[in-house]
Parts: sequence; structure tokens; C-alpha cells
Amino acid sequence: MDGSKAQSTTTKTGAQWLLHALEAEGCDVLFGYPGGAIMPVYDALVDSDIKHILVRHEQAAALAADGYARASGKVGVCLATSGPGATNLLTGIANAYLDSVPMVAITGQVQTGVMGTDAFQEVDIFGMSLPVVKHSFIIRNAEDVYATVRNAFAIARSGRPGPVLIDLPKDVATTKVASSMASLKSFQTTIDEPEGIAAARALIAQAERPLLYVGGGVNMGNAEWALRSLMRSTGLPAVWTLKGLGAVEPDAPFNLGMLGMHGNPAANFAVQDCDLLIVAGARFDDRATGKLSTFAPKAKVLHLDIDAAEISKLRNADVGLSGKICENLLALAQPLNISEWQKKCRAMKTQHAERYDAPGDGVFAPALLKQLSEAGGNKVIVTSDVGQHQMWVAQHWRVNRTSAHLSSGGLGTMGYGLPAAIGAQYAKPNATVICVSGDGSIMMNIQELATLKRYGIPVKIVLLDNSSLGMVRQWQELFFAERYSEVDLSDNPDFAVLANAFGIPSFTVERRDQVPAAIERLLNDEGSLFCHVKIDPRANVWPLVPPGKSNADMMGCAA
Amino acid sequence: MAANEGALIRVLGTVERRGYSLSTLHVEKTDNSMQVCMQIESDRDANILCRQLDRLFDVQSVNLEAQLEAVLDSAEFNETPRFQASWL
Repeated sequence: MDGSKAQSTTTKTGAQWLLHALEAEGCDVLFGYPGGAIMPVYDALVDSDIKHILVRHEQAAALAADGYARASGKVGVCLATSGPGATNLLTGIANAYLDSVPMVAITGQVQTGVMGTDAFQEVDIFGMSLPVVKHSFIIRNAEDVYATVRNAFAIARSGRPGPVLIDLPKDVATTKVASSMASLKSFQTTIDEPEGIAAARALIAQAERPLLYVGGGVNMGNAEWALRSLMRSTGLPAVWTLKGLGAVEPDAPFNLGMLGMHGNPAANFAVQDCDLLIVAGARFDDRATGKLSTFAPKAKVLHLDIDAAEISKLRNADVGLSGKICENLLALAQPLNISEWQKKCRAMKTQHAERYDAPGDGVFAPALLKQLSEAGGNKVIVTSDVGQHQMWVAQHWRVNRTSAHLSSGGLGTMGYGLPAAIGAQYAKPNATVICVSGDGSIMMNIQELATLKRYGIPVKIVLLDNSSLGMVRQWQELFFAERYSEVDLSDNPDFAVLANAFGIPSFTVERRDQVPAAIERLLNDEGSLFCHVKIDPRANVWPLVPPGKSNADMMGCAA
Repeated sequence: MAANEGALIRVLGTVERRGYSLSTLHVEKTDNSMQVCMQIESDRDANILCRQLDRLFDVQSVNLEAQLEAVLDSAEFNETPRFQASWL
């Protein structure tokens, strides 16, 4: 890396070396918020070409970096000061950790001489973040800044991606050194050579009812094309997770939909019936499997993952391939004789196709989402918050690539949608970025409307407002004997007025016949836009696998 | 493993967080590296923890020296793997 520059004798501060390293990594945008301990970096930013986006809460900086990374495939970078700035980043760092998103989070720290003395705005962010980072550094010498930052990027994107934290004490940031490249070394994660391809192929050849279970690892491994190629050449049916949405072509004949708690019945029944589960970049998350001991009870397991630690973590794999998923998927292609199984899958898919003919003239959120996604096509990137609307997006949004659907899967972070949309818009300036949110979630990072206004970011917001914390309300209705506890949000602010107060144009949709015009506006208005949609507060997400139950026990679905 | 800042706490945190409990611990530090030997109890498979430790960036190698299983209760079959892992 940068062998010629390693000879440089330029004198720079640690903060300048930090930015120099970011530039060398091709970082073009930072999401952050200044404060005391990080001020030397903000001072250096004045002379840098890197664009800095000032968010209005550090959590949004981390979530925007996450959205940028997911939409671009590059490493997202966020920046905050010590103490509360750093702790506010934590939720976003954890979000990236659980969804394996490449991120570098940079925090200011108090001076090294007072670290460990409870100095003003001192927290041990290195210690606090240990469980939710792929790796982390405290830089104690300015000479190490450049190499550490470069190594952090390499770690964040290598193998199974994840967030890397860099804690930068203020005195290190201000110290001038001639070269900060002394400890720069070539960094590579070793990846196991795949073994067992022959055993994997034999498992597939012997199976009568093989099924692909597709997760986010397919996209992270740039293997969507390999998956699609395998599906076309073999006719393997597939189900997918929330993070796998978009990996399988929406119109593929044996695309059975999402599995799990709010999965398509065809997907869940196929999993229960299959005799071989081919797990591609998925990790048997409990929202996908339901009661684990009843999941795919008749199946042998072939597990493909870049991370060897995922194989046999929750379900024993008969064969595990812990290498690059793309190559391994391609190596599985072979002619299969599974026409009876395909016929059954096709019949289940037809039987359990989604319906959009809800009675009444109120807005039916699933239909709105389907129509909006179909009208928007490939130019749209959707981000979602967390709750009922998130599941409706997963069930009904039509998307043809994983990087066009950004959702907080593992952590389930309410407040993800709007900052992620900001990040996605910087990653893909020409895309139409739509944030689908709920009236609970939007208030978690509502302050970012100010960021939209400040930079003229043309993100569109579709707020599905049921005046309640809908998913919690649904669970209280079904599993807590209708004892509603702290879910009523009928005293919400007037969202259209609120958006206007931030300088964002807005309009409200209350009836089904207003939806086509709303879609037209959302896809054609040039600037940011806030579409407030009032929906039935009693609407539930169906089907639903009750917690702790088998995926075969879906409520709201005919067997 | 590399004797980097936080390396030991990262290893120990992984052990506890992943559902294993530490019975014995021996640490030897040389100039730039550290060798850690642990005996651990859990009803979870020790091999899974080995892979989770192995992916830590400070860890150079993990060796599972023994995994013992025991029947503790006549009515229930409880696995109690015990293992010793060491890093160089």
C-alpha cells in the first residue's frame, strides 16, 4: 500500500494523517458531529477534500455510514467526539455489527495523559464497544495513525465485513510527525480454501427436495449473479431472509419468498418439507427459524458462509463450506431431477400468493408499497425503519438487487430508516431513495429532517402512520390478552406540519384513491418530500409465527 | 496471540458472552505475544468457541486440547464439554 508515499517526509498532525489515510482509502464522505476531543480532526477537515455531512445526532452519523456502506458496497465512515458523542454512535455500530456492514467509526478521546482519570467527556468507548465491533484500536502515537486507519479499512471489508472502531486521543491528533507510515503493513485476512465441494455436490445429487435458504451473505459476497446462475441451471427453489431480499429475482419461477416469523407460507412450508437445506450466507437467526428444534426437521444441511464460526453454530451442518460464497455456489451447479418437488413448490407459491384486494377505501399499506416499488423500478433504493411497516416492505416491496433494500435486520434499530436513506443518497446520488417509516420509528431520528434541508438531500419519506407502536400493539393483542401497554401514539404531532417546520414539503394521504397521485409525486418531485399516510390502526402483519413456535404454526394463514 | 491493547479482554469477553464459563486461566506474556491457556465449562460445543476466538484479529492460533462430555443427571443427558485452549 502506497509504497512511494511511505518515503514521504512531510510533517503532519495526527489528525491530518487520519484524513490523508481516509483519502487514500477513497473515502469521499464522512458523517459526523464535532465536539471537544475531536476538534483537531474538524480543524484538519477545513483543508480536506472529503465531504463532511453534519448530522444532528451521532447515532444518525453511524446509521448514515451504515446506509452508505450497504448501498455502495464501500466502507462507511462516521466521526464523533469523546464521551456522549462516542456512546451515541454505539447503537449504529451495533447495528452494523449484527448485519455485517463494513464501517469505520472514529471517536475523539481525551488526552492520553488523563485517560483513566474520569476526565471531562471521558468514557472507555474502546471497552464499551468490544462486544459489537469486528476489531478496534486506541491510537497512542501519532506515528501509528496512518497505518492504523488503513488497517481498520482492510479489516472492516475483509472476509465477513463489520465495524471497526478507532479511538483517537486529542494529543495524538495534534502531535506533528514527519511520517505516520512506519507501521503500515500489508493486511489480509486468510480465507479457508473450500473443502468438501464433492461432498456438497453429492448431498445435492442425492436430495429429492433441495431448497436454498438465502441470506445477506450472498450480497456481501457479490454473489447474487452466482446464486441466480445456480438457480437457473438447476431449478432449485429458494427462500430468503430479510437481508436476502433482492438476491433472488422477484419473478424467478421458484422464488418462494421470505421465510420466518412474517414469512410467506409457501417459504415456511417448503422449509418444513425439504430434505436438503442449502444455506447461503445466512445464520439461522431466530426470526427466520422459529423454534429451532422444529426448523427444517427432515433436512440435511449444507452451509456456505465466509465466516467459519457461523457453520454449525446453531444447526449442525452435514457439510460446511467456509470460503467465498460466490465460487462455492458456482461449484454446486449440476443437472437435477427434482420436477416433483418443483411442482409442489409451484403449487404452494400459487396457493399462498399475496392478496391485495382488501375491502374498504382506506389505504392498504401492502398494496401501496407494492405499487410504489413497481412504479419506481430499478432507480429506487428503499430504506425501512423497524416495526409493522418494515415487515410489509419485506413482504410486498419488489426489488431486484439486495443493495436496493436497506433494513436493520439483526439489531432491529428503530430510527434506522431516515439516516440510512441519507447515507444511501450519498452513495447513489442518482437513485430515488425512499425511506418507509412508521410513526414510532420516525420520531427516533426525526431531527435528521434538518440534515435533508441543510444539504438539499432529495430523500422521499413515506410515513405509514397508525397512531401506535403497531408491532408491539399487535403482540399485545395476540399474546398479552389485549392488555395494551404504552403503545398508543394518538397524540403524535401533525407530521405534515412538522416536516414543513424543517423546510421539507409534505402532503397527507388518507384514502386509497389518493395513492396513485402520491406515487406520482414521490417518484417525480425533485427535492425531498414527506408523504404522511394514515392507515388503519388495527391493521396487523400476517402471517405470523408466534414466538417460540414452529414455522409450521403460522397464524393468519390457511394450511 | 498478539499482545495488543485489549487483546486479552477481547478473548475473555468472547468466552463469557458466547455462553462459556472460565474455570482456569493461565497467561504468559513475552515481548509482543501472549499465550493463554483456559479450561472452560459449558453445555455448548467447544469447537464453536474455538472458531469464534480464531476470527479475532489478535489471535494467531487456537488449539482445542480436549473436550470432555459427562452425563450429570440420570434423567437428563447434559453435555458438559470441558476444554483447554491455548494460543501461541
